[in-house]
Amino acid sequence: MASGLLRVPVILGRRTLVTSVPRLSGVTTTGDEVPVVGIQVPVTEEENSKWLLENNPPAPAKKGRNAHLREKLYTVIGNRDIVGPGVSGFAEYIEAEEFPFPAVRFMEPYPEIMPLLEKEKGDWKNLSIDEKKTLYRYSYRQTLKEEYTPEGLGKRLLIGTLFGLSCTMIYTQITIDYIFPWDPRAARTRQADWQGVHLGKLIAQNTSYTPGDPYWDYDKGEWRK
Amino acid sequence: MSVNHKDIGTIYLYMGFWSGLIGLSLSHCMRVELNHPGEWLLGGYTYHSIMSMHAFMMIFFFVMPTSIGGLGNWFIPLMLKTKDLAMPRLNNLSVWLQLGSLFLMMMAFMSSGGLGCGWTMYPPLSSIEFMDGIPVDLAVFSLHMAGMSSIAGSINFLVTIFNMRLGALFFMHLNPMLIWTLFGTSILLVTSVPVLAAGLTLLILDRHFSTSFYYPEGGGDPILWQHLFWFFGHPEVYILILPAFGVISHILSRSSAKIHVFGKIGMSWASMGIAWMGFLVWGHHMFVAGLDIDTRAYFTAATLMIAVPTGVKVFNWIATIYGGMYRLKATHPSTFWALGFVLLFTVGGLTGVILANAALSTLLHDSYYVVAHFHYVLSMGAVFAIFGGFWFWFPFWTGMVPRKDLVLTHFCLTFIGVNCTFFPMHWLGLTGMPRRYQDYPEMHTAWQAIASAGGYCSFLAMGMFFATIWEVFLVERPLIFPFFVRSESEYYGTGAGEGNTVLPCGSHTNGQLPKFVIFKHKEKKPYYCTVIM
Repeated sequence: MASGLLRVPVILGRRTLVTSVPRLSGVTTTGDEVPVVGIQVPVTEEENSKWLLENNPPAPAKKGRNAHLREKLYTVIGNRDIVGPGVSGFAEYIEAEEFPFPAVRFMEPYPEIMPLLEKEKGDWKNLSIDEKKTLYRYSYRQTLKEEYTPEGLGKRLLIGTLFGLSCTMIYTQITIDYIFPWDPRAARTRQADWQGVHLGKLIAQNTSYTPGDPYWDYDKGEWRK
Repeated sequence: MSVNHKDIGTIYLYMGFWSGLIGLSLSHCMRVELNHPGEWLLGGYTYHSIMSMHAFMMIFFFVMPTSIGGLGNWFIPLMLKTKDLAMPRLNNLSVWLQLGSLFLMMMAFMSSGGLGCGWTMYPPLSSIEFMDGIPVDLAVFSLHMAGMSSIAGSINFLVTIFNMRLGALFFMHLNPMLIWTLFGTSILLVTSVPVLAAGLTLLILDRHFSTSFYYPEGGGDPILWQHLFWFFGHPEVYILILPAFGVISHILSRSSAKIHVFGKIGMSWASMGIAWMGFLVWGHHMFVAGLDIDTRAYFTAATLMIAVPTGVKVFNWIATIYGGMYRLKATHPSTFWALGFVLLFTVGGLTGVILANAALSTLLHDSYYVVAHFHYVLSMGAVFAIFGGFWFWFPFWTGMVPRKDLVLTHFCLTFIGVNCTFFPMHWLGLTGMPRRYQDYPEMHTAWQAIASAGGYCSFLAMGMFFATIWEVFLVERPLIFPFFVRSESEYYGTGAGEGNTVLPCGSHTNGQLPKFVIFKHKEKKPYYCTVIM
């Protein structure tokens, strides 16, 4: 497979030329490559873009197991800002109630957002509602309300379960109707007279394991009242 | 043939699930027969052959390969941050021996009407006098090979865990729970499987070499087999369940957003305690074999004592769950399997406490109550943990994410099916239905029919399982961030465990050992983390 180290050119806040970026905890995957700390070099956007194009690692091999998946996963976070340690220091976007602040922004920087990012550095009272919403959507995929909104999973689960149970019942009925040779309910041993005689035998044998049958009065020869 | 631990683990998983399907199909045959009183579908010997093979397949070729061979091979090197197991070629030998064992067992099933003496193979039924065909011999040699495979694999695991851990420091603190439980499992295997091998060898000698280890006429005793078998057999059931304990700890700690399971060190001690005490209680399988009353009293007390560390584990899991946020939308599907495990394994454990009492066990021995007990702890314990671990680490293995509603539907159908199948067996046992019987009085028809319906539901649930797998490979929904795949192994100062890779996991990981640095807090407690230099 491709190298385990996810070398992703990332803009760390201010324009920073980064050669190869370790994960935030400094842990690599294969251990084969040594991470290099980002170098603060003032560059223009054009030069940085040119560098990114020239120095991006080569595309992974087309052959091999799951090559198509590796292509998709090769540059995962792209140019997204890393804004925090996230969960255990990995640069990933996670929406979880327990870890509310993802390590990376949801969107990559695009030209229209750059002025808003500059404005965000000032007083937030100067931001309009729409601007705040835009900045929020730049950083997060969903609002908390959207995250908590049910998506109908329970309904699909109910449908699937009921469908499975229905199939089970149909299968059971087919086996009863077409496979079993006779109806156990019609067995001679389940008829009332047979069971009465059988019960009499059990009583006569005193088969109860408690001292004295709690229901049959052996002295009077009748059921206890 | 690959010596890569990942490839070997994958082979074990394939073999385990295939064998599990065979075991499930055999159980389906039994449930169709038992749906209806009377001997109407299968002949008597055929029924017993199917029943014996169901047990062998599930125990030796589904649960053990999947949980120990599959998960152990995959995750022991990854969680210990080492390249591979200590002896990769021995690992390869283990898997080939297991495959050979499976082949021999299938031959035993398909020859001379099959193996109709139960998986416990008690003499004199399994002696040459009553079963003179080759199935018993084939099964014995199959178990010999499986035993060799297990011993070799266990030695490998033990050497790896002892010698190849990162830093080789703080043994008590560094290991993830799965490592601890596999460590205990490996010790159990290494010490108990040779006893089974001895018993099997004596059986072969009795069958073909005119010895009389199990014949009273020659000075032997069939109870010797029972002692030898159950001295292996009871640790064997802890071998089946201990890896499941580790898997559940990982899943629950992840789903509760905790760095590790509650009371981690206590959990490690409890796992080791269960493993150790498992050697002391084999007699509770022999309460009606004529043991002395004081012996029965001892085994009763010792068996009840095992409930203590087991209770520690269950309470610690519950404490782990406490404080976690569980919403249907946000909860990983494997969590449901883990929660189902905690509930249903506890139910099975409670019935085990009842059966631990010699007086009650005298009445309930070889009844359906016992069948209900061990199916609750195995079919709902080990199997739930296997499915939970499978879905928990499926994105790690394949880089793809299944459809949540399909996985949950599989869970619901399995949950309903196995409970419908095995809960009525408690009442069947209490009303006198004996186990390993093909026919039964009509008074048991109602509960048997419900149990069979539950069996059909479980069988169909497996269809849903394969539909889920089919769908995920068809759609190839990639996992972008391996957040939910990483479990406690990464938080413990050892750095990233199984999840710190680009997914799917590559064939070769941890090629270079990281440098291990220990920092000291101002309180002079060590704080350690991994730094790559």
